[in-house]
Amino acid sequence: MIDDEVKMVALALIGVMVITTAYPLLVSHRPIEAFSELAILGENGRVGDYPKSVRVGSSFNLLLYVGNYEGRTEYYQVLAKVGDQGSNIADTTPLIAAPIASWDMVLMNNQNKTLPVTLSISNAGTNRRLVFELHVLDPGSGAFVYHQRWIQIWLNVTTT
Amino acid sequence: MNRGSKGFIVAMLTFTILSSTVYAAPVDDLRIQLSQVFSLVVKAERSGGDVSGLVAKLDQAASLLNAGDAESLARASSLINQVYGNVGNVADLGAKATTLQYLWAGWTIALLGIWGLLIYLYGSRIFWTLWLRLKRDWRVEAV
Repeated sequence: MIDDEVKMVALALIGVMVITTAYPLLVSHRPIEAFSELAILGENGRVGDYPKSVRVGSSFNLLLYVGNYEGRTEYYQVLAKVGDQGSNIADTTPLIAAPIASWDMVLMNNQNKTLPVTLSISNAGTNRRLVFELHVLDPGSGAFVYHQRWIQIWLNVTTT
Repeated sequence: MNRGSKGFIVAMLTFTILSSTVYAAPVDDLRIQLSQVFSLVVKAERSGGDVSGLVAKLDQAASLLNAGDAESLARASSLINQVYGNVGNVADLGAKATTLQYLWAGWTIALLGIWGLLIYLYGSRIFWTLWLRLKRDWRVEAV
């Protein structure tokens, strides 16, 4: 009876040691939840500190933030586009408009980057939407694909 | 040769041909080169290589692409070529390190398994032999 107990305790300890050795190798390359972050900050680094009105052709500054938590290195491209109230953009479809600016960045997993950007808009209008879309390079096809992340700020673009 | 190795070689050849035909590298051509070298870096990362230095250089090259002036593009091109020159070594080192890691883990698990078997077969005998040696000076008295 005691022989069996000794065997069982010893084997249980060995089992724990085997699991402790193998587990890190099995889970080391699997992120818990894969996601990317995209944010726009005002030039002072605050959320909501955005310009409400800008003049046509004049420059204004923002901060662009991108974070990579995909579990692997990613090559991101952020496109800035201008739309209006009728423009259609969703998580599955990017805005159909030519980009007015783009920024490339390569980030490792768990890395983020805040980039100062300077923009100007060439067409006047009220309630314009300045849209920032996150695209990511698909290494298989070698093309950038829409990464279903976007953010916008509303602007009045004036001539005076 | 597996599919991964073939893809790696094809990507390197494509990059070599492209980089040798670009004389004045405009932004779009450099972006294509950057994309191709990035694909090699991703493969090196998957093989277990430490790509942190390469990624930092690629990100610097991407920032220079954003700047867009001739001097920045020349520096970006230089950085992309530096990464291209080093990515093969990083991939090889990563593959070797990963193989060693798995071998070491396999060896440890095998050793633990052998220990388990020995304990299962001889554990109780060894335990009682040691117990008897430890208690050999004891005297048993009826209470």
